[in-house]
Amino acid sequence: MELVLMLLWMYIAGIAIYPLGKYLKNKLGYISSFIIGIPLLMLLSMYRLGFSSPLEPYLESINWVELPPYLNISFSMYLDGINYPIALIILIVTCLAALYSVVYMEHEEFLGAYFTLYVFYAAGMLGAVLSYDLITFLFFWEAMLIPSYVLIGVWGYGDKRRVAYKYFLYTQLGTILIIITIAILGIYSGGNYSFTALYATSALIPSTIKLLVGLLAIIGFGVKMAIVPLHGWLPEAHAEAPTPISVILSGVMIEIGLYAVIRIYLPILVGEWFSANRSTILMIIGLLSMYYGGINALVQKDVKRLLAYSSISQMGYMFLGFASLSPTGIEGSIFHIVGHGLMKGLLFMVAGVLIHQVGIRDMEKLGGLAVKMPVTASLAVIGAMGIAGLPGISTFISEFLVFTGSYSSPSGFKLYLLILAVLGSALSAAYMTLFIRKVFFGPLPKEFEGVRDPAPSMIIPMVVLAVVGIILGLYPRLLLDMVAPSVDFFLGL
Amino acid sequence: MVVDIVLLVMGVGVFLTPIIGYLLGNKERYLGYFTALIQLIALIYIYIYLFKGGSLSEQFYLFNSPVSSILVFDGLSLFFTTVFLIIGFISSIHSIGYMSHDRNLTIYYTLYLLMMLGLVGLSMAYDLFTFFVFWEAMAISSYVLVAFRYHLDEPVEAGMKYLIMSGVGSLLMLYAITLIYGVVGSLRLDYIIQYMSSFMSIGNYGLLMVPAAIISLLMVGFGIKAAYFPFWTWLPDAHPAAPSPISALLSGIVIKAGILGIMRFVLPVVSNSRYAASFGAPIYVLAILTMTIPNIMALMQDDIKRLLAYSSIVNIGFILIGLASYSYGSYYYGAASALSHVFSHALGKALGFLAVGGIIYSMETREIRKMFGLGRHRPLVALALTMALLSLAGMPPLPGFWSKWLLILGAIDSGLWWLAFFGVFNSVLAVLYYLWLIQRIFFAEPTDEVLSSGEVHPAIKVSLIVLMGFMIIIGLYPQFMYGLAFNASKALAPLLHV
Repeated sequence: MELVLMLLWMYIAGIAIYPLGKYLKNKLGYISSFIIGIPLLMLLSMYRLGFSSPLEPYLESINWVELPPYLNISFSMYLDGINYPIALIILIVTCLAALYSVVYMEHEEFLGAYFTLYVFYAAGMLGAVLSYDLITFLFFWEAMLIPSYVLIGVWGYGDKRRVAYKYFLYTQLGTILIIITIAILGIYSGGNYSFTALYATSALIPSTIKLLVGLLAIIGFGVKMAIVPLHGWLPEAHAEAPTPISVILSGVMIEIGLYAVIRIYLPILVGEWFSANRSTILMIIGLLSMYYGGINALVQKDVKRLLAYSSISQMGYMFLGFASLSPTGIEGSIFHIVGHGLMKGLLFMVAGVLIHQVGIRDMEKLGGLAVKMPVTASLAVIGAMGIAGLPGISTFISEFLVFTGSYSSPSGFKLYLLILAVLGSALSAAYMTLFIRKVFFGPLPKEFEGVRDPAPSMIIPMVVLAVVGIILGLYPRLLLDMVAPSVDFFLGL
Repeated sequence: MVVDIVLLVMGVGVFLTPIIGYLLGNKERYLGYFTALIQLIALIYIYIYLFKGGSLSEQFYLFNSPVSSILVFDGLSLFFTTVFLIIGFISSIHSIGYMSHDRNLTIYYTLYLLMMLGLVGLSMAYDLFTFFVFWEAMAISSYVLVAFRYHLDEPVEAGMKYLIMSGVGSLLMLYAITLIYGVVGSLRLDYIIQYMSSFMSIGNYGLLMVPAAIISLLMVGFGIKAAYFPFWTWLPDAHPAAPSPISALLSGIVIKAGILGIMRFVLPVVSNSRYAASFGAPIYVLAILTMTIPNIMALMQDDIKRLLAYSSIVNIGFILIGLASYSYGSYYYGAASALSHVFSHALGKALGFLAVGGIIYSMETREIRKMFGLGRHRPLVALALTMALLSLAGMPPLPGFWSKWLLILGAIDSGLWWLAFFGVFNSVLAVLYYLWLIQRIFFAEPTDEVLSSGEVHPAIKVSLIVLMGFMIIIGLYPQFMYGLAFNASKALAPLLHV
């Protein structure tokens, strides 16, 4: 029951720290980091379980609703090669961002509520990724929405209320489509929602219904993933959220949508879904996101907006890997979830350092800061290298896998699509170098004479993210070895 | 031995209330505790009975001459009694605080308990005669309770409107009952099901007019109480005008009495005949209209109680989704989803009105723009209101999540894709104003009215905490709600679930 215990611990401890907010104020961040750190250590100690066969994953199950002929819902948690890396990255990023919040949020009010909601948010994401039952998944999927909505709406910047409202509505619209797919799948599986039962009965579903389920799932989760026609909420929400929350939003939350499509829906749809045309259409959508996000990122003045658009573009890579419907491509997307989580988290933290130390987000007014804050600048360069996909960092491996995978897609136009994708990756390099040059190089404005590197509790999280990214870049087999067999299994290889 | 004891406890309560009130004299406000106690005893007795292994098919013959009077305790009775008594109990605790400045409380609590007696009796009535008696007991006491603050204009006007509309509904129902007696020769449900379905299976369209007329009249009668399209016009006036605990009862459970009537006397008849789908078609349309129009009306309300009242109509529309999918053949999920939504909406809407009661108690206003920023100043009430709205919006871990999900499941199971779509669409539309309200309450700067608001009465706080705790328990452990609902749906169609 370790996985269930992790969640229980996070929720109970999350409530328990609320009254401490009055006395400890921002110091509560250390405690929150500790609260999330314990499940992180537990998960690391369960590394071996990540290699368990997807046929019989490590499973913990508690009966939730038991009405035999109608409904059979269990509260079940599992671990296998696909969700282990994602759960790990969620815990790493949230644990570090809590530590980062200590200094970043020091001038804010209501910090008891902030850290309680923060822990709930982390627990919601972890729960969604660990669920082995569609209803449990939906439960946590919604449970991560409310805390994030309040976190943006209360502690955000700018027109935060409107942004939070928009974020909530977009996500809720997507969720509703997901609920419809769950209802459809449940009818065919006889009211049993565990993944095993869903996969076992997936052959009974007629192909038109499968098409509908796939379409609804991709649109529904596509809202969370912010793939291009559905991305409207992302640039504002990610830019106006308080920075530790932006780190989580961009770094790990939007990727959970992709995880769900790959891990939950793909095995159900596998089969006739792998037609060439569908792969082509999906790949084009992925490319659209890549180009749209990349081109928009090039023209942004606001640091956080640039990073937000870059997230759309990176989501395009991951979607491209999924759309190739080939094992290599999907491995690449999953590994890119990890790499992007680390690197985008790092870059948002850099943006937060700028907001906290300099107080300016506009890149036109920044410049030359490399002299004044050398550590931050070096970390920013590592992050930029990661997003641009340079060797040595884990995103290089995953982008390479995505490109390789897209060439083995069933699509007839795969060569052209691949060329476009590789050309598109130049955009990432372009906006990242632009970001580095505008912020850290060039002449130093006079008013920045007194700027320094931030306190260690802001530096340490960034260093850890960078180090993990580099370790995974140099030795990707740590996680890639567990992803590959699971993906192969689901694609029926 | 459960039907008679429960009704006896409630009945004795109704008779004792004025006597105790007379004896208490100036301290008549303590009657609230007595009212709560009576309902709690009834509720606990039912669960002790079940815990001891009591059967869920008990019948109790009050008298059995030409017009028989039969009470039954089956799954449906258990479900509705539980919902009614829980909400009634919590609202009566709330009344202790909310009504503490009013006079004539002996009358208030007597009528309150009479209304609860009527509702509990309704859920146990097995024939239309008994049903009608309890129906009127419930209806008449609710008219007076709406207009309880008779020195004000608004409640009297609203109560009058409610009285006239609901009176017409009762009359139409009575007419339907006389027609049934003419056709069947009895008012017992089992005879009605048997004769009406054989009558409908003759296949002569001229003869079919009689059951069609009966069912239409019943649907209008129940529809005025349940306030679906186009009979809702009294609701947005009556529910806001009533004292808040009464609004909670009206929106939470009294309108569900109409649903109970449909489930007890109409659905079994049509679902055992060949015309289930032709009954379902109008329900389908009604569901869509009842969801969509009030939802748009709710978007432009400035009065928080009116907003909640419109949202009640929307939720009756959601419940109709379940009934429509039942008549289109989703026997597994249709009725059970409607019933679980009855449960979750009763909890959510009652909590909403009780929280608003707390706001009105401390601020004496119903205007939303005067409540901005309430969350920082009156956290408990604001939290209760938020929880109610989130449950109505279908967010976990609250009961609304489980019931809305089941409604969509039922609609898709019976192949009603458009109905599922409209349900989903309206659920998002409702989120628009729920969220708007939550944002104003929590994120905005407090207004002067909020800053100068008074402390909330402890009884109100207790009622809110109890109901919030109950909602979280149901949300985390939905087996209780689902179990009750699925049990009730089995009782609904005894012939289908062989």
